[in-house]
Amino acid sequence: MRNEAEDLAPIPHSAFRTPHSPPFGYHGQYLRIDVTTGDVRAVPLPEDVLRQYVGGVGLAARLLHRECPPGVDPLAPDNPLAFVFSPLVGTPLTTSAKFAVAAKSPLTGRFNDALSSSHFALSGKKTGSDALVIVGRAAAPSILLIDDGAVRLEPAGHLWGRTTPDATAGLRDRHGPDWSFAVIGPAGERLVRFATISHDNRHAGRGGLGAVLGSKNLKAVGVRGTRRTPVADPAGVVAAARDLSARSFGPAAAKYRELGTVANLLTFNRLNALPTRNFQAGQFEGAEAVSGEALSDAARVARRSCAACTIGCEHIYRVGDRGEGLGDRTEPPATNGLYPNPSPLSPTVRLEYESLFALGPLCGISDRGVILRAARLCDDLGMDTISAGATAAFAMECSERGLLEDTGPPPEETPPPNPLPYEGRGDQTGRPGASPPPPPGGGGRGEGSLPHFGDGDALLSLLGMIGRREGPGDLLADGTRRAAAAIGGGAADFAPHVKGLELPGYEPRALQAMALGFAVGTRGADHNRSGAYEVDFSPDADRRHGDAESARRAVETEDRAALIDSLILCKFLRGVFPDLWAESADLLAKVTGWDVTADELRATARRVIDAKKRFNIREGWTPAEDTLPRRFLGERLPDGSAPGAVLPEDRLRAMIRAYNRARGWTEDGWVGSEETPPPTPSPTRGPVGEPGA
Amino acid sequence: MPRVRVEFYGLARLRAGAAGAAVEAATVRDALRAACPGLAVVRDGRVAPEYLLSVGGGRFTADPDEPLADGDSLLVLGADAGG
Ligand code: SF4
Repeated sequence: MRNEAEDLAPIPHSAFRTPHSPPFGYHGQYLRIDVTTGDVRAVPLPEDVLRQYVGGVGLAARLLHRECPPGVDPLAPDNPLAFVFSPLVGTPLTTSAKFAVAAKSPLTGRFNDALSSSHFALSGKKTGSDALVIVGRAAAPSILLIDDGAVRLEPAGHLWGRTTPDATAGLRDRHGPDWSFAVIGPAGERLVRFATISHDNRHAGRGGLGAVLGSKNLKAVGVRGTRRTPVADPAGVVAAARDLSARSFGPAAAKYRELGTVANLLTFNRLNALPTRNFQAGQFEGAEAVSGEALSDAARVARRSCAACTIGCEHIYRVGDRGEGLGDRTEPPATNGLYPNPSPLSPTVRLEYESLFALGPLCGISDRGVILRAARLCDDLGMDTISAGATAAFAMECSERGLLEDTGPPPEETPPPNPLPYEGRGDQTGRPGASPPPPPGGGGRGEGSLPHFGDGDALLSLLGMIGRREGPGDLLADGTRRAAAAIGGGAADFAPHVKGLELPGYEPRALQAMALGFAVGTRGADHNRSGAYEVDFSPDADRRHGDAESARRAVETEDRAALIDSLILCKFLRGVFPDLWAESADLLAKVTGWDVTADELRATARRVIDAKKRFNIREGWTPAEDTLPRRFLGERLPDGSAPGAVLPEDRLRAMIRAYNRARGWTEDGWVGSEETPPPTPSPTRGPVGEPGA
Repeated sequence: MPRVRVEFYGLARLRAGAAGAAVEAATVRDALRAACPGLAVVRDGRVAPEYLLSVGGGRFTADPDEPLADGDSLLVLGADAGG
């Protein structure tokens, strides 16, 4: 089974038949591909392991314990990158065409998982495995192709350096429409620590998994297959799928269908919870101009959905021609800024609330056209919009505080001498009380040479430089935690991250259960693995005064997310389940034939979260990293039309202790040793879950 | 009778066709009935699951009979405000 990396011979079909009979919904194995040596092997996944971790994020946690050597450098060849499917993939259940991607994060150094959707999940599972685990580093920029029983590498050729849509189009031209590709953009190639992996215009966005793929010298992973997995109760699955689809057309998912998540912006603004100008305020005076409602009126051109989805939350907007209500900018459409072949940005973009807040209010931008261009630029370059926007906002605040003048040498590299050389044009927001001007003198660069909040040109310029790791973009491409350490001067106090992952669009002082969720998140500040904002928005909680009860309920939201992410279903479906646990057990039973119960799934969710935490402990986690930047613990949120809020550190610590107790961990957050998925010294020893494996 | 402001956000704004309305009402239920009778925010005596209600933005309520005071703002928001 060992082959040359340049042309990996087809694996005989018999190699895919595992000694055990896989359960319904599964292939019962994962494929481990070493792109350095060409070694490809099918590793059995015993049924008890599959039942304990289900799939998606859960199974990914199990696989990383096994495959990831302790202490590995996230950008080293040995760091495994896992694409993980689930038993529901390929069924007619709405929103089930999803996959998880996981690796040790180059941004956080901790467990990182991200979800994406659509045909890559369907085709990937049909290659005959429940997961694809990639290790090693190809000798030259390459495309990894997994075609039913055959695995091979081919040169990336001219696709290296291309944007995500360009590369995808080139691969489709080269291979045909029955292939699905997960690709990186120039940011992933340049190891930007928040680079994404993109597919069908969706992105496994957080934590820099695109850099991990880039570190393996892989521009893309292509999948094609014919191997379906039978389900235990076909008629039952079809009936459940019909019922679920019917419910997805109802009011619980209407928000996503009709306006999309961008509708959050005005809501959060009203609640003084909209992160503004790098979390210096919770309300943005330009909110109406960049609201989802305004965007819909001015620029929405289509609504789409992932494969196998009946909700269709993807709202597509036209990117920035002039005279179309997209602001008052007068220059031609932006380009991707790549050298030597700059080309116009893709003409449309899918926009979510997270991209809107991060590239808009967080940077003080009230020009819709700029935000849409910035979102498109991030997607084309292959960068997480949250981290990219937050990093730009952080740079803007550093600039306005004069800190960029004082940049000292970072621990291991020298920062560029002119941190932010761009042709700024000043504040375009027209807001009253705009940010203070840069310090007099400006280090000889003049006032116009430093970025300010509200400067759209600065934002677009910074994003391009980050994606290319050019000039100051090289430092910023490492994320706010590393940049703050290099800049010094107190920048770490307002670098908006937890464990290195930049905060999403929830002001922690105004949403204090969510603040807890951010602080304890295993992948860092995270709104997808903790839905603690649901606690903040409930009648029996005080969102501006978190307590032990908020913490207990935050645990529940994490458990639900762990279940949904392991099944995998879309979280936008969650509102249609009156009882998520019981209905999930019923769905899983119909697919797998297991006599699974709601209680078993609760235990599964806990097991998944424990496994992620144990991975982090193995990689050096200490209780000190479960916290928030000093800004949130020391500064009162300014009043807007809603009262400001404060989150004292002792209150956060009390919530963290309550959270840890509710999880059954020590008060400091250490996890007991029972049921620990053991780290595996040798990844090729035997089936996952074998004693000693 | 207290004079209150009903504010619509997200789906509620889309469906109401307005950002808000000034009404006179003593309770949440009365305010909704006066400001947006077609919205069916209260169904079967309870707040419909797709909506959230907040008085003033600080406190959320699920009680249609909660009394309102002069000058209050009643916010009608989409549920599942995250995402
Ligand atoms: S609701 Fe949206 S994100 Fe979820 S599966 Fe459907 S289109 Fe994809």
